[in-house]
Amino acid sequence: MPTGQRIAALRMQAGLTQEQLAQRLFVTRATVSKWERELGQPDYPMIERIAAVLSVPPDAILSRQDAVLGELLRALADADSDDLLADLNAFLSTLNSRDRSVFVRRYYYLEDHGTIAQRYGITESNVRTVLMRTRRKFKKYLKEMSV
Amino acid sequence: MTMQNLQIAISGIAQEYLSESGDFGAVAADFRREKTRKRQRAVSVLCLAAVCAGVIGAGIIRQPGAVMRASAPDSEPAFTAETEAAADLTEPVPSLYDAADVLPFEEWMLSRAIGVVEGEVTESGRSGLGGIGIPMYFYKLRVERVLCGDLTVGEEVTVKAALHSETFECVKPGRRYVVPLVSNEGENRDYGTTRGGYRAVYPFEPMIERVSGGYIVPRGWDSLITDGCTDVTGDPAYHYKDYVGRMYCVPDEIFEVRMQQLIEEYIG
Repeated sequence: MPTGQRIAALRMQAGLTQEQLAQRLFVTRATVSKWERELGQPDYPMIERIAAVLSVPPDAILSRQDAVLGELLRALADADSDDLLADLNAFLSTLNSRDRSVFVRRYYYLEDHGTIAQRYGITESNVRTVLMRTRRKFKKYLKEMSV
Repeated sequence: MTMQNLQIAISGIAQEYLSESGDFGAVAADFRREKTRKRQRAVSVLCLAAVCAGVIGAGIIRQPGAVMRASAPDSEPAFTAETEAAADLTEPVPSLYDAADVLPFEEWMLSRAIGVVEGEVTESGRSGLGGIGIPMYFYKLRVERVLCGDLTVGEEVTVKAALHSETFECVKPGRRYVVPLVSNEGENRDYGTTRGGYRAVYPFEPMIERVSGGYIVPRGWDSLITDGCTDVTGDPAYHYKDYVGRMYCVPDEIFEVRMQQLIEEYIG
């Protein structure tokens, strides 16, 4: 079942309206509506907050692996590769050790931003920035390889 | 591309990269070295800005150490493990040349902010000359939401800024913005000695603008600009005079979560 439908089902099971769930999450009703209609997806910290409000484990909404890899998959949405494994390792070889290590901790070990930041003595903001730039570089790399 | 393809590729990441990422000390040291390099570059830019402004000759710099650094950049010690250990990476740059006053916006500059508010600009205009003769402008912001800081909804705050270009604008009256504020008390190269009111954390880029369904943010807000954002650069609705950087539309739900994380990280 898609994530949005799961949120909707669990919300109704908890006897909450979209408005009530939105209020408890400090977001607008329109945001909840977007999630439920699959027009947008909450990130994992938000999924954990939704799960807490609905009194269910986060995995009942989305598994951690699907959530983390989902952010990479969305970034690569219109890119393609005949041999993704080879392309991924070739791309990683082009990165410096810092960016490559952050990427590996996030997508191989599925660690959250805070944990990575703590391990490497940097801020969570640094981690998010490195990941965002690396995802964009990877997409660009795949596009160039496919030409 | 499917989730299954991606899972297979990720599980096949080369062992050497997995081992490398597990050497936390080495990667952390690499990050520290990079940060030191960036900091040294920033100091060089600040010194260059000081020289260009001609303020050394005018006697505006009062810190002998700063003058020495500006006039003798070659005397910077070469980077070594010892200098890395000795460097206080959290040390602020000299107050008279606050980096945020001369550099494009980066998120760490939020650490200077005393509050972040959202509100409507009710008035804007010229406001005399600043410390070294730079024209100043101001805008009044009616606070509609306090994201952090000791401010109250309904209060009207006056924000001052140096006018680095005759036509530059960072806000437009009648529109709503999110503005990180710095106290305007004290002494600054551009602003002179001032009392009361506020300055924005960064002067060279437009403020974050509130629009229906989201927020328009300029480059530099890396944590807010995620894959779920839309590039609106070139859209005349979000064009600001004399600003050529990229602009993005950040959806409400991303903005709320990410901005709160930034506030917790840099302002507390």
